[in-house]
Amino acid sequence: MASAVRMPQLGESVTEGTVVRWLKQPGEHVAEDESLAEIETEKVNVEIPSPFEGTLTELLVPEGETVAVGVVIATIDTGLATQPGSVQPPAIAPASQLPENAPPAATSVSEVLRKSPVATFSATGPLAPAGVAHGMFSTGESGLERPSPENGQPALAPRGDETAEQVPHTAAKAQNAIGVARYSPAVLRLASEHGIDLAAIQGTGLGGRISRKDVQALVNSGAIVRGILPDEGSRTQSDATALAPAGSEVVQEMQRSFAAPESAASDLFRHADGAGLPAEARPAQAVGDDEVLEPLTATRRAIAAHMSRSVQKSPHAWMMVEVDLSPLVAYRQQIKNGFRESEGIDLSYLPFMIKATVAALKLYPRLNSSWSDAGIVLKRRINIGIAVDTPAGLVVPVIKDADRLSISGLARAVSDLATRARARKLRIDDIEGGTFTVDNVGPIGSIISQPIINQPQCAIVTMESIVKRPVVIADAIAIRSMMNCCISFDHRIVDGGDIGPFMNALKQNLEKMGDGTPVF
Amino acid sequence: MSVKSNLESIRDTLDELMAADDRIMIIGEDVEQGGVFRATDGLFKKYGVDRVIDSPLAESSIVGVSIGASLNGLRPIAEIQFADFILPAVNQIISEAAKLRYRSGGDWSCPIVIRAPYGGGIHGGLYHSQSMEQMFAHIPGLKVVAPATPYDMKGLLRAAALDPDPVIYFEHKRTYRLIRGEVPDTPYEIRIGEAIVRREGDDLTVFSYGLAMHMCLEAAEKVASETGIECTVVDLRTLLPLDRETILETAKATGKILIVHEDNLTCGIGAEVAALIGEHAFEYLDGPIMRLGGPDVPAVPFNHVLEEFYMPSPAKITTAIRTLAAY
Repeated sequence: MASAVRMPQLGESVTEGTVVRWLKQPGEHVAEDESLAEIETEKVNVEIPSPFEGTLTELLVPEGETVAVGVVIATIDTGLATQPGSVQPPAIAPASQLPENAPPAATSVSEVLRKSPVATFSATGPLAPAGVAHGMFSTGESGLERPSPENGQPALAPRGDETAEQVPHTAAKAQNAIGVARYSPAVLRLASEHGIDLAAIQGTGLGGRISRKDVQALVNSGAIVRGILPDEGSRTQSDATALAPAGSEVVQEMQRSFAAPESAASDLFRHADGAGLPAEARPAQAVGDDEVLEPLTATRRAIAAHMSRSVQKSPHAWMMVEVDLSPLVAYRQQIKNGFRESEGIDLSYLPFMIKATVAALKLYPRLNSSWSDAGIVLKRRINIGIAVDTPAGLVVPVIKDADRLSISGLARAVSDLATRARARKLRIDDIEGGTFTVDNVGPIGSIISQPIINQPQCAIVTMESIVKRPVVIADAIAIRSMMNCCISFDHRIVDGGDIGPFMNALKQNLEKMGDGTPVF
Repeated sequence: MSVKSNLESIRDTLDELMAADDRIMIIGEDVEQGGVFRATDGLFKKYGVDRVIDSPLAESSIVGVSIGASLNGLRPIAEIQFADFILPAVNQIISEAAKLRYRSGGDWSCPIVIRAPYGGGIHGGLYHSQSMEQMFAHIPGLKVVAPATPYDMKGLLRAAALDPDPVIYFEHKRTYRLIRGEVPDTPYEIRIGEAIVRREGDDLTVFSYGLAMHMCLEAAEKVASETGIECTVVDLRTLLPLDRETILETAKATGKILIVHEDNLTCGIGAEVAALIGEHAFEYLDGPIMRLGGPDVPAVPFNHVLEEFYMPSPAKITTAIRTLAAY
């Protein structure tokens, strides 16, 4: 009996996931909880476990494709679980037995060939077909040319090529067997010469691969917008749509665009990664000659959605306090080398800031909350999100139960999360459950900033650059190490009257820190 | 112009060369009797014992004597009865013939031709079916040709005989009587180092030589008529030096490359062609460079069924073409 494997909900407010890599192929036996696929969500990559034991029969989502939570991504035949490996599901019967109109069965070509090397490829033995399906630049497959023990020196060839003839046929049907974003050098060169966006082309090669001839056909069709190539002016837009079957989002968008013929072709060919853009996010006009369209990464897209949603949802209010950090600066200067020596990590101001924030939240727990239509949800646990800038974009891992950690424990947690965030090694668990966020913007040189609330939290507080400034103390002017702390808060939950005392508590907590503040 | 088999073309060309240049002489096993394949039939009678010399069954002496004769002003054309038997002569060929010009700073050269029937498909068994071309294609100082058609047999044999340096002339023995074609009656040369495009198509490019090249042409016609896949088929003709210009030009045109030879796959000519393309036409590639070569087994088997399995065939080539075209 086939059971469906669905895209799991991999965290709160995560609505979709991208299949990065299938770790199992159709026909393989999977144990319960054995890793089935690598899934990328907005900020982390996870391996999802198989919910059942059985034989994987179909992969319904190709690698690289993003689907909504709950969508069936694979089926597992649990009925065969009792005899793993001994029974081949029908989808991967030897190619020689496939009827002319055999169901496409999201089986990879290589799988078919691997299961039946004699029937399909014995005549060409050393061609080791596994590499064909996986593409020239694919990972660990044997590649085309190295004979491997099982298929390099095959048994007798069948006479004639009637079995062999079915190979390309089957291959063409095995849609999505390879990543769609891999292009051959010829394709890349042609696309670059003619300014073509490959994402908009439907390939006719193996597993939907775009071949040189696909690109050449597009070039020859004249569908490329004039102006991209100086000598293309005489060409007219024609049946570019014919190159891609209806159904894909890109094509639908193309067809819409064609209502406005002037921009249509350029829309088509200039959109990098256009497939994933919501329609309204696409530029109405073509990207001009002096502009470059940078494709959106999943992280960028997630940040964009998250920020827009937050601003739309929460009425942001803002305030700032000035903090005299002179004692803390002196104290840190005094202990930081010893700390580094004994702990192996640097001691920054952030752990002190978190400590002070947590203490203030203990006094004013109303800020450790989130809005709901039913009421304000007050959180007992204090989980502090820290904003980390990574090459891929902003990510906010969470220090759980930050109120239970010492300065040293916080320093270690910050170091660990930041390191893993930059290496994209965060787990779903690491980015979930935040109740309040501390944003350290000092390092970017900011002295005042206006952060956007990390939904669904109530507020976000920043620590700005520490700068020496003249300040008045008891009618005298002194040089002090000053830092601003800014807070953006959800005015639905709290008012200025709540924020003032909180911020002042934070300020006092910080100003009290200095010589003698326990670090461990 | 007359229609000849490959064998007839070779024999007539030898005759033509000997008639025109009395420095040209033949030495080999049983050549007086016309040789086992009849390639020298009638030449002994016509040119006499001084110019058609039966040798002992000692290939190293066949080549060694040829080298000596060439240094004394003659133009020997040595016949190795089967290419399989060339191994005892390898020292003479590689260490002496190939290096004479180099080691003498260009003062001396070694204008010999070594004819060697090679290849399987004739139920010759282990000792009469080998392909030896890859071994010599690795040796600078030699030229290696492997013509496939009667026209090329003549043109390249003439070029080889007139070449000032040693040329190994491989004749696929299965094509001796199998392949027939028009051959001009007048003398002509085909420049050594020139490949020829036998068929043009824009889906993929097939490189081959010898018997396998004819199979490639047959396979190309078959896939064209059945599926519309159009192949360019390039007959390499010369294996050393390879015609880089033609190889790269035709490879770039389609971006999909299939190399077919009967010789064992590993370190065969296909490896060199693939490397050339990979290095110099990378940006034009549209798929993995594929090779279809003989299985890496020690010999072409005698058993007919196994021999058939070993040999290239239009069916195997067709499958490879379709696989690559579909990529």
